[in-house]
Amino acid sequence: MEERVLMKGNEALAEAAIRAGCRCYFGYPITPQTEIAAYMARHMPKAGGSFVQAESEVAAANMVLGAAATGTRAMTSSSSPGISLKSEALSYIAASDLPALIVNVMRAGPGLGGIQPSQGDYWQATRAAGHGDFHQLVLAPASVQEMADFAVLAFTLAFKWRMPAMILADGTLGQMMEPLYLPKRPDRTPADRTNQAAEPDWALTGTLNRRSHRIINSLVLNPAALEASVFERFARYRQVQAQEARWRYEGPEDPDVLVVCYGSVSRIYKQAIQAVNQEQGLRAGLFRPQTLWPFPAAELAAKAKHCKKILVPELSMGQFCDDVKLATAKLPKPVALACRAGGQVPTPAEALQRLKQTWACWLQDQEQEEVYYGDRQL
Amino acid sequence: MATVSYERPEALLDVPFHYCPGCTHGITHRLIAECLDELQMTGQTIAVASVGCSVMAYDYFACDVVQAPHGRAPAVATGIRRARPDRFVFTYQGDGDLAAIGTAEIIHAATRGENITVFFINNAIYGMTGGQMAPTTLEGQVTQTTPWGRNPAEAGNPIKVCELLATLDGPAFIARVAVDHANQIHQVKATIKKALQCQLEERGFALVELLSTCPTNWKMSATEAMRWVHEQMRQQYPVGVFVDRLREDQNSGRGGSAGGRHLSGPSAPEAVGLTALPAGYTHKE
Amino acid sequence: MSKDLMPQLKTLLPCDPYRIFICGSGGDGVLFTGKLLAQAALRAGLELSWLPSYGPEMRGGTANCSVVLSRQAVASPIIDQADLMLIFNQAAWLKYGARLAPGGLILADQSAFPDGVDEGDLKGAGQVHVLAAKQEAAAHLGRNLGNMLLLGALTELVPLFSAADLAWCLQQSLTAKSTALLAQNQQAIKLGQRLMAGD
Repeated sequence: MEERVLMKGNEALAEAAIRAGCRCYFGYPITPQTEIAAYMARHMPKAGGSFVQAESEVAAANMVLGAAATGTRAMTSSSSPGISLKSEALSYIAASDLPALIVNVMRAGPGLGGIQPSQGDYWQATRAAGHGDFHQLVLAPASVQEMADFAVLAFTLAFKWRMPAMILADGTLGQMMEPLYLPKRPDRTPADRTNQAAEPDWALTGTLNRRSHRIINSLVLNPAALEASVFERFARYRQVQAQEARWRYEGPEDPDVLVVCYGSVSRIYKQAIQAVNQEQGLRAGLFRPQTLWPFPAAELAAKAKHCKKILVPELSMGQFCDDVKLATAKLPKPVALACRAGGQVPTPAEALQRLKQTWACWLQDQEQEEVYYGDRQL
Repeated sequence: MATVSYERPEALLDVPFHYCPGCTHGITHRLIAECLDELQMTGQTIAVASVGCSVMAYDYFACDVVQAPHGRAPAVATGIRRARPDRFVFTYQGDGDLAAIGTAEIIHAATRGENITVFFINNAIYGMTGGQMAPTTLEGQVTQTTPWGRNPAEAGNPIKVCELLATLDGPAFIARVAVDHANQIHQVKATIKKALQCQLEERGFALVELLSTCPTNWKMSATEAMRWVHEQMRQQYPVGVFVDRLREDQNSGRGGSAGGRHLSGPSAPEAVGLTALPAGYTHKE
Repeated sequence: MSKDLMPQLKTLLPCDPYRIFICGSGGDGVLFTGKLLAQAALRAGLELSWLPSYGPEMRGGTANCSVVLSRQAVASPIIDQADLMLIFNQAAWLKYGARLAPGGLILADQSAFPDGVDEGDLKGAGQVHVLAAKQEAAAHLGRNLGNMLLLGALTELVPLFSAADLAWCLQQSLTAKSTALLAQNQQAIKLGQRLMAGD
C-alpha cells in the first residue's frame, strides 16, 4: 500500500492523471483550477510527457483532440467560463470517437460570475457539452481521494468506450486538502508511447508504409451515413448507461427523507444527516451519484421507493433536481429542492435546518413539494 | 522505349479530386505529395485537414489524417506533435481558417516554434461557403458579403500573414509563393520542400503561403483566375522569403529549435537554396 | 511514524469532529499554519480536511482556513462554528469572531485585541489566550513568525500533537526551501511553547 499523503484536490487529480498514464496536458489559467496546470507544468516533463500553456481554452481543448487522435492519454482542465470555450472541441472529440479527460472545477456563473464553488454547469456537462447529439461520461468526486481515483477511472472509461470523460468538481474539492492514497504508478513507461503493440487500432500513429491510412474525422456530408454513425454511438451510450452508473448510499434501509446530492454538497449534508440520525424522530439517508452521466436512475428509484420524501440540495437552480425527478417520476415521491447559487455554500447548520424543515412539511402535508432559495421557502 | 515521367505520387491516393476546374488545390496537393515522397516522410506523417474546400484532403493524402475544427489546425497539430514527437505533422489551411477564426492558434503555434509545417492557401475568399469575404480579400474585391467591393473603412484591410508572422522570433521559415503559372511550379515545390525540411531538421515552425485561385467564386475562367493572382494578388501579397533560419544557421553555424526532440525520421537532404523569387516574371497566355 | 502511539494520540481530540478556524491577513501565514496542523494530524493518524479561502482574499484583506480533525472520515470540510480559533489580527477577529462555538478556545495574537480582551465580546468562549506573538517573533527572530509562535503555544494548550510532531512536519515542508528558514521556524515554535508555559 502506498503512503497516505496530504494534497489539494486539484493536485491529487493531476498526480493521479500522470500515474494513470496521461502524457499530454494542455491548459489555460483560471481560478479555481489553476493548481492542476501548475502541477502539470512541474511534473509532466518528469514523466516524459508534454505540458503546454495554450493561448486559449479553445486551443487547449483542440490540442487534446490532436494528442488523443494519436492514442495518447491527454487532458485539459478549466473552470466554468473556460469549459464553455472548450465545448467546440468536446463536440469534435465525441464525434471523432476519441477518449480524453476534461476537468471542470466549477465556479459560479453565468457569465464571468464569481470564483466560489458552484454546480451550475450540471446541465452543460450532462445535457449540452457541445453542439449535436452526443454524450460525455461525467464523474462527480466528493473527496480528494475521489479526485484522484476518478482521474484514473475517467481514462479507463474514456478508452473503454472511446468517448470524452469529464470530471465535474467544484472550487471546494479543488482547493481543499485531505489525506489520500494515490493510485499505484503503472508499469508503463514513456517508451510505451512508441510501442506499436500497445497502440489502439484507431490511433493516428503514422502508416510507416505498412498499413493504409487512418482518418479521424467528424465531417459526414451524407445524411444516411451521419445518421448511422449517430445511431451507432447512441447504441454504445445505452451500453454505457447499463454498465457504468456509479453511486453511494449511506443511511438506514428505509429513510424518512432521502437526500440526493453530489460533490461537495454531499459532504455538508452528510454531516447534517449524521447529526439528525443521532436524534429521535427523523431518519435520513444520503444517495450520492458518482456518475452524473450515466445517471444512476434505476438505483435511485429503487432506493427512493422506501423513503417518504426526497430532498435535493444543490449549488444550482434545480438542474440536478431534474434528473432526480426523472428517475423517480414513476414512484412518485414529494421532492424538496434546496438551491444555493452565486458561490454560496450551505453550512452544516443550514443543511440540518433544511432537513428538519422539509420533514416538518411532510408531517403536515404528505404531498407537498418545496423549493428553497437559500433560507427562503418559495 | 517509352519512359514514365509523370506518375501519381505515392503520398496521394488514387482518388479523383472534388475540386473545381481551375482551382489550384489539386496542384498544391500534388506538390506536397511529391515532396513527402522525395523526403520519404509519408509513413511518419500525420496531416491535419482544416475546414474549407480542402476539408476532404483526408481522402487524398496517403498519410494518417485528422480533421480539425475551423481554425484550430495549429492547435490540433501541436497536440499531435507533443504526443508524438517522433512523427511529422503538417496542416493545410485556407485563409478564412488560418487568418480569421484561427488567428490566435496560428500566431501562438508560430511563436512557440512548434515543429510543424503549415500550408496556407490564400485565395482571398471563403470558397466552401460560396464566396464570402475572407480576411485576405483584396480592397475593392466583390464577394457575397462585400457586394460593392471590400471597403476598408467598413470591412477592414487585407491581412498579410507572412509579414505578420515574420515579426515573431519563433518561426524558422516563412515564405510566400504564387501558384499562378506553370513556370512557378519548381519554385513552389522547392519552397514546400524546404518547409518540410525544417521539420525534418527540428528547426521549428515553417509556413508557406500559396497564392491560389478560386475561379468559381471569383466568377472567372481558370485562365482569368491565374492572371488575377498574378496581376492583383501579387500586388497586395508580394512573393518572397520572409524568414529563413536554415539559411541564417548555415551562415552562422547555429542550428536546432527550442524544445526540439530527436527524431527517428530519414536524414534530410541538402536544403534547397531559395531566396527572393524571380522578379522578371511575365505572364503568357 | 511510531504507530503504537497513534491510538493514544487519537484519544486526545477535545471533541469529534474538532473544528479549527484560522484567520488573519494575507502574509500572516494563515494557510501555512493550517497546513502544518493538517500535516501533524495526518502524522498522528487522524482523518482531516483543510479548506482555504481562495481568490481575491488571498491578494490582500482577510484570509482564513478551516481544518477539521476527526477519528472517522470528515463529513463536512465547511464549518459554521469553530472549537478552536487562531486569530492573527483585529480585522479577522471582527469578521470571524462570531464563528466561535460555545465553550470554544481562542488563541490570538495581541493585535487582535488592541484594547484588551472585553469579556462581553467573547460570545461564550471557554478560554481566551492572547500572546504578543508577532511582537516577540519580531524581537527575537527578526521575522514575521507570529504564526509559528502561536502554533508552539497551541501545543501547550491542546494536546493534539507535540511540538516535536510540528517540528517534523515543518522539516518536511521547509527543508527543500531553506534550512535557515526551517531553523527560524523551529525556534519560533519553541519560543511560543515557552511563552505559553510561562503564561
